[in-house]
Amino acid sequence: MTKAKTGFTIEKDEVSGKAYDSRLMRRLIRYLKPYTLQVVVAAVLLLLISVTRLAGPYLIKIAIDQYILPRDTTGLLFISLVFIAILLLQFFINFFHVYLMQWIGQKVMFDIRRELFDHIQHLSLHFFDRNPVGRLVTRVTNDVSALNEVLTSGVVAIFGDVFTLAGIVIVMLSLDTKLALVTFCVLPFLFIVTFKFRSRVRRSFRKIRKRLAKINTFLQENISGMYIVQLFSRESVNYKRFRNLNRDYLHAHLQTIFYFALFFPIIEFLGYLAIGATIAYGGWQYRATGMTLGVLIAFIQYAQNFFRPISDLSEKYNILQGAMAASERIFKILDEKAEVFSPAQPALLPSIQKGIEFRNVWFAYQNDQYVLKDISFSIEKGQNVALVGATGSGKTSIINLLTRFYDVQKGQIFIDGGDIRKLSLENLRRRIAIVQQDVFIFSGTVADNIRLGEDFSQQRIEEAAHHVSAHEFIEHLPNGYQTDVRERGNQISTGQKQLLAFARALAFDPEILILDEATASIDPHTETLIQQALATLMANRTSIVIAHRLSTIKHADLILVLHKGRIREMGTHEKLLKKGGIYTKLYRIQIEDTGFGLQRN
Amino acid sequence: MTILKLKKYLRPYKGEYIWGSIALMFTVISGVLVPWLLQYPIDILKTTGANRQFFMSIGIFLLAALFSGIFRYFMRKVLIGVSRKIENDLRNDLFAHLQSLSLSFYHRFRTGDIMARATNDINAVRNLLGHGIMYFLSTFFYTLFALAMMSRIDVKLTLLALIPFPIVSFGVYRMMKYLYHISNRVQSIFSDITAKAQENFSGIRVVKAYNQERNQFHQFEKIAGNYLRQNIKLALLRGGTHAGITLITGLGLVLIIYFGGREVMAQKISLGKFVSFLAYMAQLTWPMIAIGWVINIFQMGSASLHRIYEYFDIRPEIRDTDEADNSITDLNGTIELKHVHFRYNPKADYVLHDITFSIGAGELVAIVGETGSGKSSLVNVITRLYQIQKGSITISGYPLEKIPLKILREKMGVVPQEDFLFSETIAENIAFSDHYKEMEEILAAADVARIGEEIVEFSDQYDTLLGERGINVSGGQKQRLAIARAVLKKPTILILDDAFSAVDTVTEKRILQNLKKDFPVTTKIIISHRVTSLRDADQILVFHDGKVVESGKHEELMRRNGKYAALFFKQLLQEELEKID
Repeated sequence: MTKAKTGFTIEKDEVSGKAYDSRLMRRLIRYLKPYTLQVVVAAVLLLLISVTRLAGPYLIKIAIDQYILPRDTTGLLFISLVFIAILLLQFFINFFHVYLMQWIGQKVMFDIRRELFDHIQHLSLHFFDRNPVGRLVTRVTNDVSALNEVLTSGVVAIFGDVFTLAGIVIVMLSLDTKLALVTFCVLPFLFIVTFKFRSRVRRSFRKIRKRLAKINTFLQENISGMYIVQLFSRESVNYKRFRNLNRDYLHAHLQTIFYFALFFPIIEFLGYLAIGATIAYGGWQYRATGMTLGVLIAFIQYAQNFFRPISDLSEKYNILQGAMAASERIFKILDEKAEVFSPAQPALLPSIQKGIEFRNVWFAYQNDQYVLKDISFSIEKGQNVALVGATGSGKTSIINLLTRFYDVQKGQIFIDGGDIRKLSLENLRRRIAIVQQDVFIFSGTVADNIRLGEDFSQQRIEEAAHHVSAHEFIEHLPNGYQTDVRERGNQISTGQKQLLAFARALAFDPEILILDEATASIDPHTETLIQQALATLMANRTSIVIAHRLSTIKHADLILVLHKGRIREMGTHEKLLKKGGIYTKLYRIQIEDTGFGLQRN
Repeated sequence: MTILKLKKYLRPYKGEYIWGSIALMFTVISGVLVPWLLQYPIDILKTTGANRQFFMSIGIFLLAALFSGIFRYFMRKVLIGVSRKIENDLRNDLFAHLQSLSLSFYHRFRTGDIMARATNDINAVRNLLGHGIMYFLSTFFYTLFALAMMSRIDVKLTLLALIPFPIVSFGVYRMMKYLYHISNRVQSIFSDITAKAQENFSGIRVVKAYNQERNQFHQFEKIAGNYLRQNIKLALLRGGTHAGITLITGLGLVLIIYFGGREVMAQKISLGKFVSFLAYMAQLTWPMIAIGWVINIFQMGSASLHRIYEYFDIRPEIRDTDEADNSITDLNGTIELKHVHFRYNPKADYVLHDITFSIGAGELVAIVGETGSGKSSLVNVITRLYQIQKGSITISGYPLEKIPLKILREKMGVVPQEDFLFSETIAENIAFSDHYKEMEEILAAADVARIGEEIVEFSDQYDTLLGERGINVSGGQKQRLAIARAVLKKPTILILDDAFSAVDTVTEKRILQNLKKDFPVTTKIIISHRVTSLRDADQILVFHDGKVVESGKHEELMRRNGKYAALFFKQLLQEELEKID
């Protein structure tokens, strides 16, 4: 069916790339709602962590001022024990907080992931035509994981850093306002340096990303097209190009290394400057104010703790940006509406009594490029119908419409006189089984592939396999019906896959069988088995077959000859052959294909 | 050790490594000195108050901090810079090596795998050479110096301070191992999620047709739930490790506060020294964690290095051997195959069986047959992209192995079945074999391939960019560009492998006429499904199951009424059908 896809325009895949978007954020936060209690607890824990982080230097101050300098050994022991208690408390809070945050993050991810998966699989085939599978897979996997970053590394870490900073500021101010202000003197410089560094680094990171993308594209292209490179002796030219790309990439990196090499020492030095200034001012004021040595020492420690969160904060920007882009892409898909859907109040169809009718059906995959034009025909219950026509004549599209993979643009399709759009999708599709040319094999065992997700009994599976002559080859597989089909060495041939698909269709016992016969060459033994299986499958069953086999065509009750989107001829084999029209030509091609060519003129 | 393999890459940067290490030593020394210098202002303040000496001591402290910063700058810039330069050299060499490898290599390794080694693995090696070495050295020296300074303050306290060291280092190392193990499991479940999504979305028709949405959802939910649980386990471990390190180092600090405080009381050490000691303790936290981390970097780096060298150790299968005769500088277009057998790998079946035929210079030869009958494999062995196992191929009377590869490739113009254009301009793609070609020649080649008229319709004409960042051309345009690319070489032998499948019959016939007219002495081998346009070929070879089953001129083969005749009639009918509206 891939042939129907050619000519589809793949949608562009672009997002705005903002680091913060309140609309998206609000929507994300909605996913936190089921876990409100956990979120509140986590926030409280985060506050407690910030408090315990602040306690250390303060305890040291008390130890020095109240116990060490006055030489109070019992007091020192007491404060040490308090310290240990706080450390233990901090350990448990820390641990529990990390656990809780991850738990929330993972739960939300799980929720979004399953919602997204289910949403995608319910979207119409039009959507799948426009979006490559690889892209959809990325949405469900990597993009959802990136979202987790917003919660765990982004928002939470930012709040944590802000809490800690605010706490340090408050404690320092309350210990000694003037001294605190002296320490804060370096802050403006710190902000300027960080800001400058950030903007420079962001720019050079962007350069790195671009140049890396170039290297990867070039590499990918050269690996895939290596035979062209070698056939046209382009090795040295391409090597030179690669070397240049590589060099540009190196230079971008060296630039970034320079910024980082500069930034870290400057930040560190600013920290020391703050300490130096604090000591100098504190020493100068030592006698004048009643400032204690303990306060001074606590200040030194707080100052050291001050700078890490600030440089951390700027790191978070990139993470947030990536996650926002991911959420935008995910929500774009969640906003996508299914074009083919069940009606709100579906009609009931317990079983088919009369038959199928196409009435003046027009259909286009893309606006106005009609692949089916004014198609009308009817099939009675129990009839075997063959669709015949050249590639691109519209045979597959007829099947796509009957199963409601797509909906018609004009005209109507009826089952037992009722429009199929009045039925629920499930009810409609339960009447039909479809076997495609390229049989899709799922991972899992042979039995899994026959029953799919239903809980059919082993007996039902084996009976189905028996009827379509698949039992024999299945029994010869290493583990019979329990053989893993995707495992190496258990590969089954194209013909065997066909038989498996027949068994699958039979196990589901459909009222209508739709079949796209394989054109690929199959070994004679399997071919015979397939012929027999087909007869079993189609006996006493309404069937529509895109026919390539002469036997199928000859035995059909009705042959529809499609040519360029229209039904040009209709009737039985003998009748159509007498006509000497398109069917006769198609038939002759078929004959040449199977090597039965006898008389040529 | 695997790292020794890199000697060749390290040698050019010996000077930089030495200079970087010196900077590193100074960084460490000044870094150790800074907390040490902190004790003086405090002690002076405690005894005499803020005097000249007090401010001097702060000045010295800041000076040391400044030096520490300057050296740190040089250390990072040099040592990390070198690792990037080596990465650059390594990647260039890997690329050159990849170019020299035969197609059988690309048959064996998937693009994704090759890409992974050229990117991720090289990154891991670079990480080892840069951050790995830098952190290893600085951690080592820092710990050494800090301990020396600490023991100058107080030996007993230093021994106490050492207690958390082995616990944390060993703990981090073990955790890393375990984390690695669990991360692998998480990674593999993640692949399961990917596989499930991939399967569902590619098989969406079957899923929908058999009403399997709900069951599929449950299957997916099960895997995603498993992923959730393993991830929480991972988080617990990470969180535990992090909290554990904080706890143990914190306990170490309390130990020092208590015992150090008592020393201060006993006036064995000064308060300033006590503060310095606490500062050292704080700074030693990082090296403790770093050791486990560095070990991890080294392990990953050497595993990656191993993977990269796996490629470097593969020798190109097809290259000029001693047999190659450099006196061969020109070829005429005769080709002769005798009993050629070929298969893609020793375990597989032969795809060419006992092929024997000969082609005279300037002939037009058509090769027809079903998909998988061995036609493209024939192209692969004539162009020597693959090596045959049995039999012989001679071109211009020389065995293929004697002809220098450069000459062989220069004289052949090939349009492979899977046409591949590069993300370059149209002109660059046509002049792929020689990008100094004159524009006139490019125009002429485009005209032969009947693509010229369409190129001038594009916005930038011959400068139009193709591929990812450029425009997408249709299948037929691609094929004709590939033909232009091949004829530009003015080859002695021109091979078109199914090059007209997306080109309409009228254009195909015109291109064939152009080829006959403009390249009368060139041997033309044309593989095609459309036999009707090749009826006047000098020779037609019919392939079936890797063998030549029929050969001769059109009339002879038609008289024989075999495979060729069947094919020919079928196509005549198809063409007639096309004409009906």
